[in-house]
Amino acid sequence: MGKEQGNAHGFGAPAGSIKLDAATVNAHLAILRELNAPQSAIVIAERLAAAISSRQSDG
Amino acid sequence: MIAVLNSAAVFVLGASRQNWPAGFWVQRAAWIVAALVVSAAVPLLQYAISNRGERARRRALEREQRIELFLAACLVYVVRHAGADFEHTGIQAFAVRGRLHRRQVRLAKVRLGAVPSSGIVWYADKGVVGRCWSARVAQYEDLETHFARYRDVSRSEWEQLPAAVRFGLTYDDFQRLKNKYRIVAAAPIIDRQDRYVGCVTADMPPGDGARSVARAAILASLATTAQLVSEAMEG
Repeated sequence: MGKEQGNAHGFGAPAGSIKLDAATVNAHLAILRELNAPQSAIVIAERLAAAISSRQSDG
Repeated sequence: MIAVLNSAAVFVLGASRQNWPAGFWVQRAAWIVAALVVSAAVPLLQYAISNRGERARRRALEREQRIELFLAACLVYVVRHAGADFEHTGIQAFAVRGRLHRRQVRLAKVRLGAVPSSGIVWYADKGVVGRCWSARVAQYEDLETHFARYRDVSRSEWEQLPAAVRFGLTYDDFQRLKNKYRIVAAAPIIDRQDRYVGCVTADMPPGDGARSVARAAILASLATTAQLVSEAMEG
């Protein structure tokens, strides 16, 4: 199930038994911006944030 | 191989120019043409190989920098949201390597304080990272509490303990680690093909700073970071 969820959004399966939540992912994205991370890293985090938001809105 | 070819080509060109051995090259014009082609192509080939290697090294370096940044973001998060100690908390990424002796090697590490490497080879089932590998499930262990009653056991007593209690550690491993960690947590890195490819860990040394950390926040951050690192490893 994790694999199907992950691949549907272009990401791997959720790590272990932990369900990712949008607030944590967005906090990491904000920290990466604070750290002046390069765009390539920001893009990865933005894609993950979008995937998690989509999963959460899918129910 | 390229150097040998080039040497042979130079030798053929030189010997034919000197007509040595006498008359040998008259019937072997094709050899001379081939040597010319090889001597012209070798520098181009060397440049292409070197350029390709350089690009691969640059990509690997960029990948490593991205992974380090994700680990740095994780450190900032666990300090802000989980009460972890900024100076002594370490965030590391491990990847599975090797075909016959598969083990986890460190890809990157972020820690402000200096802590020497244990030098232990992390096979499956060894340590918290090994348990994360074999179970493919996030781990969170208070090792200081877990090992408190075994701190002074002899080698033979240690070897009689069940592997699960020892975390797969040998007596020598334990001697090296027993004063090093209090909390160790790990989240698996799973790739797009649903394979376990490594893990992201957070560790804190013994001391008051590690006593009141928020387990859920640490695991949530590690799981997020594991997904980010997974993408960075594939990119």
